[in-house]
Amino acid sequence: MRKRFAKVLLLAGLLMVCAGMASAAGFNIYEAGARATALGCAFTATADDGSALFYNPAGLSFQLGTKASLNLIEVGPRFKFIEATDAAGDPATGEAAYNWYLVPGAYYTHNDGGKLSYGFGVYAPFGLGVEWLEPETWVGRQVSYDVTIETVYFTPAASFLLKPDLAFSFGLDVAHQALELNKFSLNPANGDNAIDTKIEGSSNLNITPTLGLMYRPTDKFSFGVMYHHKKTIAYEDQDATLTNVSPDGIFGGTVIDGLGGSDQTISADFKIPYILSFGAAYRFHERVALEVDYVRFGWSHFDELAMDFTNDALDQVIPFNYEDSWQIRTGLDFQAIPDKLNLMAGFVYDTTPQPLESVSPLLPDSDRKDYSVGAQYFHKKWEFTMSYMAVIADERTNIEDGKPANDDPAYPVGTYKNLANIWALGIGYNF
Amino acid sequence: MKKLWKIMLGLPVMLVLLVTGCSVEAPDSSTDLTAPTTPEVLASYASIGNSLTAGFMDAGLVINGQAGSYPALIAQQMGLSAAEFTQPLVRNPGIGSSDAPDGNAAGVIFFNGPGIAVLDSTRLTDIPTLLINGQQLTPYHNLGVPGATLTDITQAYNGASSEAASLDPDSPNSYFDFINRADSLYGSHEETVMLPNPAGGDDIPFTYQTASMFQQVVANGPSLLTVWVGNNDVLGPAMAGNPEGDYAPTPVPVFQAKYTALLTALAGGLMDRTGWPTTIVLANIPSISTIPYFIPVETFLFVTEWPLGFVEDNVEMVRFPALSWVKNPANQTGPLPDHFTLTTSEKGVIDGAVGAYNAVIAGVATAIDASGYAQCDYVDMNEELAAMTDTQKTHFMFLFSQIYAADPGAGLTAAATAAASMTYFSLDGIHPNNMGYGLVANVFIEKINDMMGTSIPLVDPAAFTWDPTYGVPLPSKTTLTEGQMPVIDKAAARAMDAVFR
Repeated sequence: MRKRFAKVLLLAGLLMVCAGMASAAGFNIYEAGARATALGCAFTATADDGSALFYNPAGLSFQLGTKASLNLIEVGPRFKFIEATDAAGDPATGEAAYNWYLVPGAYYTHNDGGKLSYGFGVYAPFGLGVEWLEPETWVGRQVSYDVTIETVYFTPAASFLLKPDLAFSFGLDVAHQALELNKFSLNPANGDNAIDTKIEGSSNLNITPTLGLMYRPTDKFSFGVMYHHKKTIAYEDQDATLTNVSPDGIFGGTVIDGLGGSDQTISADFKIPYILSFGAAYRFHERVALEVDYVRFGWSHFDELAMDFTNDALDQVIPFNYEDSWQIRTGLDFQAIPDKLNLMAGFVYDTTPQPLESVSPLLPDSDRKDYSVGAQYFHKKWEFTMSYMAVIADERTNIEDGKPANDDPAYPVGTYKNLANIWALGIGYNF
Repeated sequence: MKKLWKIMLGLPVMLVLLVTGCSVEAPDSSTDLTAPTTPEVLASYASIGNSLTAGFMDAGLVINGQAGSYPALIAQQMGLSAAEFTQPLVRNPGIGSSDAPDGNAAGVIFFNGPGIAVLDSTRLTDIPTLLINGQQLTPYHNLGVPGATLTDITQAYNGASSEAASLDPDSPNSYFDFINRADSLYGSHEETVMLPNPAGGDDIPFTYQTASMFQQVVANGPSLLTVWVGNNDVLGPAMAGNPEGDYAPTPVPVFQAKYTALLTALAGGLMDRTGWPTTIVLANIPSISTIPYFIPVETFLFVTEWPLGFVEDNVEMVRFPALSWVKNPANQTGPLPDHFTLTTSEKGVIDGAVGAYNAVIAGVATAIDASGYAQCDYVDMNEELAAMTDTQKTHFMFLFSQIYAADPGAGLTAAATAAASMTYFSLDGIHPNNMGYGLVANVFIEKINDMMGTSIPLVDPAAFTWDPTYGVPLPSKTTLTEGQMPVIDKAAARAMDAVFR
């Protein structure tokens, strides 16, 4: 058993290395497990597998045994853009590469039937990946032509069975974030690409608490509350590289020389919102259950990204001014063949935290509707889950009262349209 | 239960089939953008031109004149800050000609009591220290480059690429070096675009340098643009004194082709840059009869009592630097050389060119406006400047001499102050002084108000002060000994001359 467990952890570790991220509302990724994804992530009151460490660790108190699970979640976001039509006509267009980003979810839980159960998980609840094609001519290249943000949480948590039907959990979200941003600066006299800036960062570790509560008064009802605290993740003395790409070789070189050279260092604080979820599940048939969650994100914490370079002339503040947002998640769980096959479906209505002026090539966000389906198969001690979620985002045009919502000319003015295909595969083992 | 089972089994299969190939459709282009409002148009202004646009004064570019350049005054009256309308500001003593006797760059010329002299000079290598905002990364909003010709506007990006250099490699127009800043900042390369043919038919190729005045003003993307160009295509030949010879005015068909292409490219380029038609105000070209640099021969003979005649017959006008030349005893051995004079025939060539150029400008304004690429009109600067009073068109030195001769006891300072408040031209005789630029600004502002229905307030030229002494105290006692005309220092004469060639 130890050997198998070691293999599971090794595989999880390898996945962490290649983990990439993609976007959900804001840049939250709430698909932390294949089963939860199939249920529209309406999982706060159910939380009956390892992904409870994200959705509600208090659920550990109601999962008997020792379990390890590995979830491979592939997120494929797609973005398209077209400039608004003005008197000049001929609007520019843009399209992001159809990349697939692997989001991990690896969990280990233990519950021997006593009052204390525990577990730990590795998952990536915040991330982003937008790589615009033809970057040298992409109209938004002054803001970003390729950005990735990867935020990996390691959450150890313990759940206490206060009463047979009531559990409380406490855990720590130990987070690490990696960020890469690529953009061009232009020669202001002619619009030629002049400086290619690459910012690469690996954050300090950040630790914040997570709490959970689960109440199961009857076999039919379950209620849950989950909270992950907000974070301010620090980057210290990370790398920023400026490359002169001026066709004439002068402007970029002159500016870079004036700034003290190509290699710069940068420090910044990156803010992550709190997540607060309330869930209620009802088993209206012995084989069918429905859960509805209301989830609140404290996105107002994400007000700006202040980048402090060693050379003050490079200092930059990107205003985001996000607003708190909410989701309604619903999930339907059907035991098609008891103890053998579960079929699941879900729907999410996801409001954007992004004000219109922040809609940009970094992340053109909008309200979304997510549709999910999935199946879970049980074989002896193994569980296999496969699910799919389609994230359908509303079109969004960053024009307000006939004018660009953001008067920074670097921000392209027009309409973004995006969606994401999400596939998830989960393998679980009950020891 | 069986029914529910079937539904639950079938639903995910259907959904999977539906969404497996989920792809995002290209959105439609929004048409929600609205054209800039009048206040928005007035919030983004740039100018393009030559020395007259640069605020050139007293044979040099210096902050005293630049602060009161007509574009700066227009911007100020529209409420733009100095950061919203930038100019390549130059510290005292300014940058005039590079023909100073010591090989350095002459500063402006000034009135020192005995006459006109160069205020100071600067080593060529030290010129960057004169530039107040030479490190500004964005193009200046005032792209007035002294000496710029029509060709220069699209082709020149440094001194070596200027038309002046093509005429005399030893006399490049170095203003391009620190205003266009191709060598020190931007770099430059040639680009070609296809322009609509105003006469119909195939598009016409238009070639420009990426650090040229043209490209830099397009890069700034103003919604309001003033254009006063073409003066040097006729003024240079006039000042060379032989417009019927090798240095003739730009042929009218060439001027027409270049001016039309430039304005077509400006209107189209700005439309493409900003998305909306730009408001463009052109100015036509004043007659040389308006400017005191060209002295009627009768006046010249009266003030100099020059007894030795002229090399040319039928002299009608004499260039101002001749006042210095004739004072040199070494020159008082023969007739005045022909490069100092314009004959009736030569002046006819100049006047003919001015008239033809102005007809071109009026026609281009109409055509560009009709094209829809810009709201375009022009101001008749020729007429407006000709309408100045005779006193306003009279050179400071003549006014000073008259005032001083009438009351020597009042002293040099009193006479200089009085004369400086009366003329609208600076000491170089071609460029307005602060009051003159105020008048020019008002001509543009009235046209802008007329075109846009605005009420931008005019300036009061009489409220401006021009100090031809540049703060240097005048001698307490007169040193004027040679008649009523002060001496024009040789270096000052050279500075006045060289800068325009």
